[in-house]
Amino acid sequence: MSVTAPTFTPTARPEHRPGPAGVARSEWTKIRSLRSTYWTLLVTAGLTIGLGSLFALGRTSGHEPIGPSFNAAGFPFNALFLSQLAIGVLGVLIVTAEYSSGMIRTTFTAVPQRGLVLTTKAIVFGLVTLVVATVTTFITFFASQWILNRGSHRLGVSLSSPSALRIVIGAALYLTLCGLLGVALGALLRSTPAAITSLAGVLFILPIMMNFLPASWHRDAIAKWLPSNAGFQIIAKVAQPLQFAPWVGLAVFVGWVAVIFAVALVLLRRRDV
Amino acid sequence: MIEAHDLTKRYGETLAVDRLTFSATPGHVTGFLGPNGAGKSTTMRMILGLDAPSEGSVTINGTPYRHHRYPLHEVGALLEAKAIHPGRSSYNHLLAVAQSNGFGPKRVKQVLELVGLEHVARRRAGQYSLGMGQRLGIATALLGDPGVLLLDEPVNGLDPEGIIWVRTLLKSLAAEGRTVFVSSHLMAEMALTADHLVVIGRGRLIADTSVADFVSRASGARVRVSSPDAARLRQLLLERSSEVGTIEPGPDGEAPTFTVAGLERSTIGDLALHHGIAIHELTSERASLEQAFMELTADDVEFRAHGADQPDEVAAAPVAAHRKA
Repeated sequence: MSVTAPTFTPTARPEHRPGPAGVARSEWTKIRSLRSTYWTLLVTAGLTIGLGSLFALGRTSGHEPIGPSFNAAGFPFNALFLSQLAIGVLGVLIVTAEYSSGMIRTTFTAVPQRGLVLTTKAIVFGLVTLVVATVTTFITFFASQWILNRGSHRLGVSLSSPSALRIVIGAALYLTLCGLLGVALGALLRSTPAAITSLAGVLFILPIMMNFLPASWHRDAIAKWLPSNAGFQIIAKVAQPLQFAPWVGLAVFVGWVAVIFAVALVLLRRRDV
Repeated sequence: MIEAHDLTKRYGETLAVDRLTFSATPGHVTGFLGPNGAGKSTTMRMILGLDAPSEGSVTINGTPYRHHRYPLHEVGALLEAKAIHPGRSSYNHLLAVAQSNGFGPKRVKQVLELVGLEHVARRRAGQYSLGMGQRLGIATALLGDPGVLLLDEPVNGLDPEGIIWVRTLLKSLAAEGRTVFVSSHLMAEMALTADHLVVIGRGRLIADTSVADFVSRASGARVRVSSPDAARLRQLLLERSSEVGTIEPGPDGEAPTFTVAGLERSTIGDLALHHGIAIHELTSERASLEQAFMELTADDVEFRAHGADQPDEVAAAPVAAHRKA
């Protein structure tokens, strides 16, 4: 121990000044370097476009009378009921896969500001999802309206018709929020099965369960606050009875995601990794 | 420089790490030894700010880890092999880690070459062997060219060639003036790699000393004596040392042998000459690091195993809490 050690001088130097932009580049690399990202995004887009077109086809071939209140722009977006789960699962996985593989310890060793990492991850994932979801909902809209306009039906509407643009953009925002809900639940629960089960519970099971509550419990007043019920109002043609107005409903959904994300952030700072 | 002061981690009633004080200094490979469940990994995670200490503190270069903002340039760590998404290539894995601290593809290529993974860098990590995973982990630790390195069991799963490679690498990294802190359960490996040891058992510090010191303090040096008049010599030695072994017959008509502790070879030789006793063999036997380690941790482990109701102060006292300067 008596030998004097040489003073260490590093030779490698960072190419960029370390900062949030670098963290964003890192999260982008993580997202784009997994095949599962492309598959899940493809499934989300495929389900939305495919089911949306199928629903439109069902309307043109059905026998039920179609009145003037028919929501031609919004009806195909009932496909979101299924594709929301696909994008939500991707949101869960980009967080929980880091925990299950142990990568999270490398991530937080490289950047000890955990909140910055999670927030950046959510922003990068949110932007990717928003781009894919917007392209998807526009394709869904044009495909379904083309189907609705075929033959003698003429049920379709144009993008310039009242509320159509709001519905198409709103549907993309809804999908993005479902993905971010997955990120928030994944960060909160840190386990893939737990987070996916909760996601399905929040988006699928809770709205169904509401139907079985006693009517005297003001179940309609409760049900409209549920994330998916509130968020789904963005594809309504006009404000529905017993529900929030479209943008208010979407804002309620944003609130849910924000609250879960905030709780996850607080716990992330406190808990051991 | 890593400095832990009274570092403690409590999980409910269990003390995983108990008032650990030690330091790892630049220019040396510091080995971190302990049996399974001794608290090595918990300590590593506390050093890296992943787990919060219940009490006490630990700093790297004077600063708690979580106060470092983009620390890859200062600290590199390997916590577990294959802590990587199985679907991601090692190139992309390293690139993501590098980018978070401002490094880029150039540095990624350098470390891939350094660990010999450049030809498989585009392959998905799920197909890697444990040894390749270890090399990737070491590459990750070296990304920022840091002055402090923490490696948890880096030779696990490596073939003999890989083990020698890691040994040489760690020594050369320390020779460059870096602080190298490496945990291992392979005591023999540590004897060859480390020049300083921090030994823990059940979360407590057992020794913080040089490798040579650790071995001699644990068992002391023993001397093996072979003499045709073994019985008389043994009797004489018994007056001077309490640690004289029993006589064993020598093989193939050679003189019988026994061992003595606590006496120098010269003392024994001079004594034999003085009494006119012939000596056929007089050898120093040093305990191996394994033996020393087992001896020092045995008390601790046994005590805990069937004596949980006894007061704490009965537990083995730290042997050597201070290193030589």
